[in-house]
Order: sequence, then C-alpha cells, then structure tokens
Amino acid sequence: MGEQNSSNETSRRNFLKSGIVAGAAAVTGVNLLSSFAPVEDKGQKVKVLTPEGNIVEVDDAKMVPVKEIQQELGLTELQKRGREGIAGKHWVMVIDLAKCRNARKCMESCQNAHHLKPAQHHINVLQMQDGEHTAPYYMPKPCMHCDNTPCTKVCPVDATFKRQDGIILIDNERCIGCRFCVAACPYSARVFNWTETLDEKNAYEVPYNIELNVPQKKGTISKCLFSADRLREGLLPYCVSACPNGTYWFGDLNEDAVTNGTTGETVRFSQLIEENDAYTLLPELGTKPNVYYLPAKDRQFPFSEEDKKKLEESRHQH
Amino acid sequence: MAQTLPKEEAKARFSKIVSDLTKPLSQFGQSFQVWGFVLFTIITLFGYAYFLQLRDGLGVTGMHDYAAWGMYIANFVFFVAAALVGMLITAVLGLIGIKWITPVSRIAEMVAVAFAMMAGLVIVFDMGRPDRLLNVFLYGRLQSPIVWDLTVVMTYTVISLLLLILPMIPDIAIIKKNLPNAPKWQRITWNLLSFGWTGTPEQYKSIHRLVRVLAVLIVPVALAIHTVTSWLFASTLRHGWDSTIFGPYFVTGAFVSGVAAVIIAMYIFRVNYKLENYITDFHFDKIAKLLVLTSLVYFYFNINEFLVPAYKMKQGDDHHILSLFVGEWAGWFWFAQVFGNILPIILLLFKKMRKPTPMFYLAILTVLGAWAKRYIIVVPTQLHPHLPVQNVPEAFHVYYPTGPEIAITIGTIGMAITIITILAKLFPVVSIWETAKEDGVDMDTINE
Amino acid sequence: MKNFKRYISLSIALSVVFSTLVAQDWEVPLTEKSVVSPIAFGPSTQQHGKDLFNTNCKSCHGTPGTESFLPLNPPPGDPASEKFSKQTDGELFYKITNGKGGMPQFKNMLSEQDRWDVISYIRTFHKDYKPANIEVASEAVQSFSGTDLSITLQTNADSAEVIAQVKGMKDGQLINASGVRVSFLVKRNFGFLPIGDPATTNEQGLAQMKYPTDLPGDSIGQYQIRVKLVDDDVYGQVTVDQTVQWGQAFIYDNPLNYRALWGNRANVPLWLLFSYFGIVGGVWITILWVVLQMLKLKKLK
Repeated sequence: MGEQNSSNETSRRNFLKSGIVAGAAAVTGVNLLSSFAPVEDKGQKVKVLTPEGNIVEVDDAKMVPVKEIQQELGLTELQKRGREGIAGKHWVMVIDLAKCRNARKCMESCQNAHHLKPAQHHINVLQMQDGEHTAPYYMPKPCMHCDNTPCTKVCPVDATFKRQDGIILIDNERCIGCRFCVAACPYSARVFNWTETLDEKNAYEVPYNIELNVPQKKGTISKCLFSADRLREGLLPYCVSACPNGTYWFGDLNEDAVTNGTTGETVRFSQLIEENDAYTLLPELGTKPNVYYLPAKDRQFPFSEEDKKKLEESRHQH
Repeated sequence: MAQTLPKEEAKARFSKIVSDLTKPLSQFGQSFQVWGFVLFTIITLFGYAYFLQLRDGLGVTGMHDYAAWGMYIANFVFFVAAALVGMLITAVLGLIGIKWITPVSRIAEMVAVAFAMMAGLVIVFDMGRPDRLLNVFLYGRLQSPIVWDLTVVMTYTVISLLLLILPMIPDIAIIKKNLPNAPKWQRITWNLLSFGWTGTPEQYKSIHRLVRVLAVLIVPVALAIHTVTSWLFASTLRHGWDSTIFGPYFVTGAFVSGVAAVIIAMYIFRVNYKLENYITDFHFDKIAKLLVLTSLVYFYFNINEFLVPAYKMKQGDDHHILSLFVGEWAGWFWFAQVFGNILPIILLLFKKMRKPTPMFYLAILTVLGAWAKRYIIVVPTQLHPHLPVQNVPEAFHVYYPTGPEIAITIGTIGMAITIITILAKLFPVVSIWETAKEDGVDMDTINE
Repeated sequence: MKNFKRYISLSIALSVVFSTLVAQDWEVPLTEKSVVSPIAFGPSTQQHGKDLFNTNCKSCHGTPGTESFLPLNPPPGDPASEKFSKQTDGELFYKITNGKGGMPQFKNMLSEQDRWDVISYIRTFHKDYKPANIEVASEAVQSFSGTDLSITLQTNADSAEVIAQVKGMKDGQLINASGVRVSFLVKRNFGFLPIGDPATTNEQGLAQMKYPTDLPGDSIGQYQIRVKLVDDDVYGQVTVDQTVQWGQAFIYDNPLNYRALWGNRANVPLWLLFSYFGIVGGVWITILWVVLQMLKLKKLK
C-alpha cells in the first residue's frame, strides 16, 4: 500500500468522472497519439492522463475515441483476432530489479488502460524479502504468461487461453466466473470483478476488445494481457513504456531481442539473460514463465527505510 | 432372517408394518407445519440474499481476490461429502451382504440424493455469471477438473436417484394400494414410480439384478465424485492443497460426515415417525461402530496430511501449517479435528454412548466439525499465497463471510433438508417389503 | 475498510511530507564539491559521455539544450541550463554517483571514468565552463565538417560483413567523409539492435562491421540491417536499410498445433479424450440400460 498509489487513485477517479473515459482508453497518453489518424485541429483542449501518470493537455480533435477504433471491427472479429494472436512471435519480458525504485508508474498506466479499480492490479510492485537476513527489494509482478499454464489448464470453458504468441488472455464474454483460475495461479496474477466495474458504472459501451479486456464486466476475470492491443500496433506494453527507470525490457524471444521501454535501447535477449544471471519466479513449480528477472544487484535505488520498517512489522505479525 | 410366519400371523404383521411405516406419509400435523414454515423462511431469506448477489455481484460476499473461493465452495465440498454415504451403505455394505442396513439404506439414499442434487446447484450459486452456465456444455474443456466434477456430480445424482427408486418400487405399489385417499401430488408420483408393479417373481428378480448392477456402478462413480472434488484443490500449486493424498483424504472424510448425517436423519425419523421398532438401538449400535471405523481411517489420513508437511516445514507450508496449529485458524482447526474426528472415535468406544440420543448430539457435533474442516481446507490456503499480499485493502488479508453469504449457505442446507423432507413425505423412510420379508412375512402376503 | 481509509489519509499526508523533503535543495558535502576529474576532458571522453548520457540519462533529462526533461517533481532539469552549469564538477559527480529520490544512483551502474565522461559531455553545453584542474586539450572534435552526408553499403555475404562508404559535400565537392561515427544495427520488433560499438570512418570514408550469423532472421534467415550516422544532431538523420541473409532461419512452430493439458478445448490430449468419453459413455450406457429395464418391469408377468 504505497502512498503514491493512494493519492493517484483520487486523480484517476476524478479523471474518469470528467467523462472522457473513451479517450482515456484509446489515448492513454502521448505515446499513442502518433498512431491516430490525423484529424483537423479544432482548438479545444482536453486533459488526458498519460501512461506516465501525468495529466497533459491534448487537442480535442486529435483524440479518436476507442469507440471509433473498435467499431471498425465487431465483437466476433475482435475475439477471433484476439484468440489467434500474432503468428511467429513469442513475447518475453525482462524485469531488471536493480532499476526499480517502486515508482509505480507501471501500475498506474496499466490500471488506466484497463479501467481497473484501485485494488485491482494486473501488475503489482511487491516489496520482497526472501529470508530474514536477505536484502529487501522491489519486484514488479505481472502475469508470467507461463508456458505450462496452471490457469488455462483448469478453465472449464476456454475463457482463458494461451494464444500462439504466448499471451494468456481472458474472454470475458465467455467467462462463467468460477474463479478456478484465480485459485490455480501461484503468482496471484488474476483479479475478479466482484462488483460493478468502472466501465459499467460509466456506461462505457463499445464492442468488447479481448486484447484490452475493456469494457470490464462484473462477474468475470481480468488479468495482465502483456498489452496485446499495443503489441498489435507494434508498440511496447503500457507498463513497459510507462516506467521512468528503465526497469522493463520487452521483446520477441523468436528474434532474440528485447527493447527497453524507457531508453529504447535494444539488446540481445540471450545476452542480457546470460550476463545478468536472470531467473524466473518460483521455477520449482514448473510453470515455465515468460517473464524473467534480473537480480537486484548493483541497484540504482536503495530500498527505502520506510518500506524496510513496514516489511519488518509485517514479518512480526505472521 | 426370521422363520416364515403362518399365514394369518403374517397378514397381521404385514398390515402392522404397512400402517406403521405409511402413517407418517399422511400426517401433516402442526409440528410438520412449523417445520415447513421454518424451511420456507430459510429458503425465502436465501431467495432475497441470492437476488442481492445477482444484482450486485459476488462482491456482496466476503470473498476477494485473495480468498476467491469461500464459504460456498466449502459448503459444496461438504455436500459432496455427505452425498457419498449413499454409496458406502447401499453399495459397499449391501454388496458384501451386511443385514442391518435394511432400515438405514433408504435414509442414506435420501440423504445422498438430496446432497448430490444440491451440490450441483451450490456450484451455480458460486458462479459470477450463472447466466452463462450453458457455456460449460457449449464450450466445455475436457482438461478442466470442473468439467469432470460436473460430469460425475450429475452421474452420481442420477445413479443415487435410481438406487433410491428401484428398491422402492414394491413399496410404492403397496402404499398406492393402502393410501387411496392421499393428496393428489402423492398419488401422481406413486403412479408414475410404481412402473406397473404387480409383484411377480420375474419383477423381483429383475430389480435385484438392476440394484446389483447399480451398486457395483456407483462405487467407482462415488469415489470419482469426491476424488475429482479434491482435485479442484490438489491440481493447483498452492500450499496446503498441493497434496497427493487429497483424493483418499477427502473420500474417507466424506464417509465420516456422511455417516454422521445419516445418524442425525435416523434419529429424527425414529422420533418423529415413531419408528422405534424399526430403527432400533441395535441399528444405532451398528452404525456407531461404522462411524468409529470411518473416523479411524480418516484420522490416519489426517496424520499423513498434516504431520508430514509439519515435520518438514517447507517454506510456504510453514505459514500455513502454523496458522492452522497455533495461529489464527487454530480454533477452527482443533474444533474440526476434535469434534469431526477424534471425539467420535473415543466416545463411541463406550457402549453407553452407542445409544440413539447421545449419538444424535454427537453426530451433530461431528457434522459441524466436518463442515468446519471443509472451511479450513478451502479458505486459509488462499490467504497464504506464494507471493506477499500487498497494495490491496487490509480486508484482503482475511476472509469473513457476510450476511447474504451466510444466508445463501444456510439456504442451500435448508434446500437439501427440504428435499429430504419431501422425499420422506412421499415414500416410507424404511423399506416396507424388505422389513416384512426379514420379519418372516411371505412374498404372497406382501404382494397381495 | 475503516482502517483502509485511515491508511489512505495517512499515506497522503506522508507523501506530502515526502515530496517536500525531496524538493529541498540537494546539499553536497564541501569535501566532495571540490573533487575534480583525474583525466582531462576531451573529444573522446565527450563522445563516450554522450553515448552514456543517451542510454542512461536522456529518458528523464531529455536532450540537453531543448528543455525536454520529464515533468517530474522535483524537475530533473536540463543539463544545459544554469542550474547545472553553476555547479562544480565535484557536485555533479557526487549527485550522479549517489542519486537521491527520483535520481538513480549510478555508482554501481557506471564506472568512475564513465561518470566523468558524462560530465565532460554535459560541460560541452556550458559556454563559460573553465576546467578546474588541468588544461584541457583544446583540439576540436576531429570530425567531418561537411554537409549532406550519405551512406552507401557494400555487403560481403561470405564473411557477413558490411562496409559503409560515407560521403559528404565539402567546399562544393562530394568527398569521402572521414572521422564520422557510424553505427550498425539490425531491425527487431521494437527497435534496432546495435551490432558492436559504432565505428569511425577512415580516410576513405569507410567503416566496417562484421555481423553475427547466430541472430535469428526470418524463415530463410533474412534480417534487415540499418547503418546510421551516430551524430544525427550534427548531420541529421542519415540511414540506409538493407536486407541480408546472414541470420539463422527461423522455422515457426505454432505451439497451438500440439495437444496439451493447457491447450484450448480443441487441443485436448487424446488419452484424456478417450478416457473421458470411454468412462462416461460406459457409465451412461449402463444407466440407460437400467432405466430401460425399469420401464420393462410392467411386462414381466
């Protein structure tokens, strides 16, 4: 429970209230603006929350709401396309723990993009300490998009599934809300819409985009999607491009390259993994994750004293 | 079996049995009306609570992302467990030729049918999108244990229903004849379910054969239903669920709770239906010993399930085990272990305890313990995931069921009891023809 | 819930305190202020410093002189601004080394020499900067001073080598551009992968790079290479793309073509399919048979 997190909740909510939800989904910031069709300048300014968590003023005319983009494709085409995935790709993420300073820009941009509530995290920056005398560190935790997926194994209706590019998606038009996948996921990567979602509250009605999992639906699951909608446009995921500290690398295993979301630097995946002694989370479970971690060695930001104290307290509670 | 009685005596005996066992079917007295009102109230409350849940989502329950399964699933596991007793008594004991089960087996089947039916329904009440139930049939994935579970629950319900009805056909023909003034709904059911019974030796031969086939068939199906239910947990990678003995551990636990549930039902029917001459102290003594046996086996599995991980204290398991043994779940855990398992073993060793009334109260405690056991199998594990629970409200560290959730749970139990009540008003709870036969009444008299 | 609310208000209060703390002036110990670079600043340190700046600092501080830093609190600032130029070398070094708040600490990321190189690059934007210690070599950066640069590529398939010929206009003549830094890249999904360090063109305006052959390409081992002038702030964006067949052929094996427990419903493993329908079929056929027999009871006279 970070201070930044809670103070941003207010701004996000106000922002949603101001009735430009449609814009938020599509635009979510300057990075995406380039992908919009150029529209005539009407001169009116609108406030938009960027994936970096900043409010920027954007020309009203330049905002093409999600509605229009998505309406080009109907529900069935969106589902079909989303279920197939992108041929030839095998997406991987590398998270450099030495670079994370718990800025939580990733969490913010993700929650904005997917219209999540404050307690719902597709990506969650955890404060970890493996043993009593080991060093604490910050660990962003998205879905691992495992190759031996505990969650898709148990789904009774194919509502969560693995696509050919390795991404595990949710079809909330199919999901029956049994929550077996939540129970099965050892990484606690899944959230459930227990009550009315923000989209339902705001009567946000567009064809359901399976690659964005928006609009969210009550009684169904939501989870990290590796920003499948962004990948389709050739862009890096929301969290990856929102990070101010160069924590995230993302790319295609099949071409052995990952790109840093902050610096834009591209390196060979195999080399990055080898030189930094990368590891995967809970490898003993055999889930074969597609998210790799670089150890928090030679870190750029020390673990804050405040968080250290909190960790200490929580350990004593148990 | 007693010697065959002379004709006149047999007739008198038979008519006594018939009147004793069918009398409750036509009695809808004041106490029954009160009982009916209680059940009606419980189900009405359930209706309102479920309406709230449908309207506002599963958020009206105490569940959250770190306790995604709560009381409903615990209750579901309990229902499946209680349903298993039908197979144990009718099939296993019946097939090996145990005689004392004659007045017990129909009660056991009624309990089994009621709980099996409700087990199927309880899953629906737990669904976030019950309107999409059909998706399971349209898009069912055979890889999912839920699909297996639904399959076996449905199969088991049907077999149990058949095992209830088949041996009852001669009785239905008898009561049809003896209660011509019964209300219409009863007579229609009896007409439908007597299958044109006339009591020929061929017909008896046929139902004997069919019962035997079903008794053999239900054993693997019953094992499957509870084993698969245990796999809903054991197939995940969580601390406390990731266990290889979950199948037999659940099955043996099911026998304990099932036998206890049957003891409660036996006692209630004995007292309310005045069946002291049919469900006797002898039968209670026998089923008490059965409860000791099943509890002993279950105890053995408990030792395996808890002692082995507690010996190792593997990371992750340690939190879980300690929270059960001495931590925040200790109250639940020891209540479940003591009342649901240990106490029946110790107390029922004494002959004085193997009497209907003490057994009734003990069985209630055992059932409560068994229910608590399901609760601590389902809930604590989820609250102790592999990775820390952070950046969520404090409430996500604990799980407390809410009012609507409890109302729905009690409602489902009320529904199961309602089903048993209806079944016991439709059919004699003790087999007329089998009892008569064992008392030495000849087949001709029975078929007259 | 009540606790949660209280927690939120507490953390908002904390975050206000926190941000004011951060916004305070960043004091550097006096002894650190006077530290100076052990090595004189010059073109090579500036060149290296620039590369380091672009990968490590640019994401927050932006391009120096353009005020393009991120709008954070406190603002990171433009390294070309007075805020930076009035600081001593020692101050800058201390801050880069130790970091504070949003500013990372680079003591583990960059060597001491690297950190000084970055400072030497920043100093190129500070007109009034006087080196504190030793006299700096006054020679200008040895680079091509012409305009309208262009690159032509020559590839050698056998050795997987690229030779870039850089030419530019100088004094109205198209001549070989020497001393120009050229980077060699391979196109990947989200960016370009640099191959080796940038090379500097020789007298003939040639720069050369050997490409790896173990890099995955398309289905026949092709990948797209790009050769680019590093100093695009001087020469503008000059790039040449070409497709070569030096990589590993990548044969796409769609994982969804296999049956698996985690797979979709169509990909159910055969053993499971047969077991399920075998068992369920067997049981239900028996059940149906029993029901049929029950219906036949009537006829058994």
